[in-house]
Amino acid sequence: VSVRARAGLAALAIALLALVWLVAAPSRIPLYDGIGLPQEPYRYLQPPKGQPSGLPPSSIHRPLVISNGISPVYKVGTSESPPQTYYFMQYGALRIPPGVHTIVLDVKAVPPPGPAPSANLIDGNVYRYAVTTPSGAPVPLRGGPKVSVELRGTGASGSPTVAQFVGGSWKKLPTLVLLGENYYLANVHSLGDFTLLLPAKGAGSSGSGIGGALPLIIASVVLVLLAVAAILLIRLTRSRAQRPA
Amino acid sequence: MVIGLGLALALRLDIAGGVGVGHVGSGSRPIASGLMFALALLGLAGAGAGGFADRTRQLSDRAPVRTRMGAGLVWGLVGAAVLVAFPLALRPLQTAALGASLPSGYFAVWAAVVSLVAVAEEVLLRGVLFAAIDEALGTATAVSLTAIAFALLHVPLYGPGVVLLDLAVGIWLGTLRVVSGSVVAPASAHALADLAAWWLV
Repeated sequence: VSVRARAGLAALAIALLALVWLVAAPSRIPLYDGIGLPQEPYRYLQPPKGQPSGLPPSSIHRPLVISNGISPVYKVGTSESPPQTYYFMQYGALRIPPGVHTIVLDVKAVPPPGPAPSANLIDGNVYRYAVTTPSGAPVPLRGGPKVSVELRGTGASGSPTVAQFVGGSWKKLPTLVLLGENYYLANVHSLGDFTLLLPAKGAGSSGSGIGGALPLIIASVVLVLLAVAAILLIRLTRSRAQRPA
Repeated sequence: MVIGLGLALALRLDIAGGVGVGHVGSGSRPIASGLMFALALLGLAGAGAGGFADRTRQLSDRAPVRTRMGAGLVWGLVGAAVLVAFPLALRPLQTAALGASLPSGYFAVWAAVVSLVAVAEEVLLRGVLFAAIDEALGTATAVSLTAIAFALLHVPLYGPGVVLLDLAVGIWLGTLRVVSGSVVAPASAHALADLAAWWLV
């Protein structure tokens, strides 16, 4: 391979890598293999009985630049490994007041503003999500473009649901369970206090049926694809070998 | 080799558990699964290398071992810098106190196994498999097919969301293999980039 071809290939590969990072950047730093980053224990703001008080939960304080009065697409997570919560908003999800060029996103764990509904438990921390102008005025959601919160479960058995504290009580929201991950996502119509509610012992079920089988299904698909590639490779090699010189 | 690769993957999943996101739990289970996966890949690579012994010999005759190792390590550093530069440039840096909440000495074990898995994957994919495909179908096909295998290999552990990125990373690692002429470059780039994740969480 000539030097020029090598340089061209390297430039192309770097450009491709940059493009993928720009359009499909993962929200987490990826490992390209290995054994995964170790999962640290859940960090409680108020550790339940029997739980050791470890490190405090981390928070997010992030100024965001607004251009042309439209809020950007943005996803951010807290700094635990793995993050205990994520905040995501689509492009133009916020109603930006005229003349505002910077907004501030704050996500922090707060004491529960109210008790869990009967037959439910609060699973982990309550997180407060707020977007404000530099003067402290809240920035409302526009409606339409999605804003979602994602909360990591503590690993307690049962199926948690994302809930929002509205009007003095917890309101359960339609919750998307991220298969194979201990995260629960809800699209929200306003910001405020969110947590996971877990049915009290005996009331819940443990995860979806497909979740456990998914790794084996994917492994089977990978195996079949690799087998097909190998067969094609062998056939091509043989046909080349049989071709008269 | 293909069937063996599938079996190694199944073994790793069986031990490691479900699809994760780069965090597959703490304790000895992920360490053990990573170690067994790496050993299985190295075993496969050894078996595969026997079948392509002539080609391997042909490749290793090109330059003295020390020269190839040195060039490979330099390219590996460049490769790792590129892999780490994009996440650093395009997302806010968050530094997690991983070590503070984990048993002391965990990093050393984690780093050793992560490096071993990275090197094992590269020896198999960009070493033996690359040489075989390069011989049969040419360099471009070798870069492409090993990148596809690399991306698919990571789906069970990290989910389908990583396919695009891992394809691009696979092409970059294949490029390092072509440019440096040695598997040392992609192996060291891969291992260093994975290790960097500890500080970039």
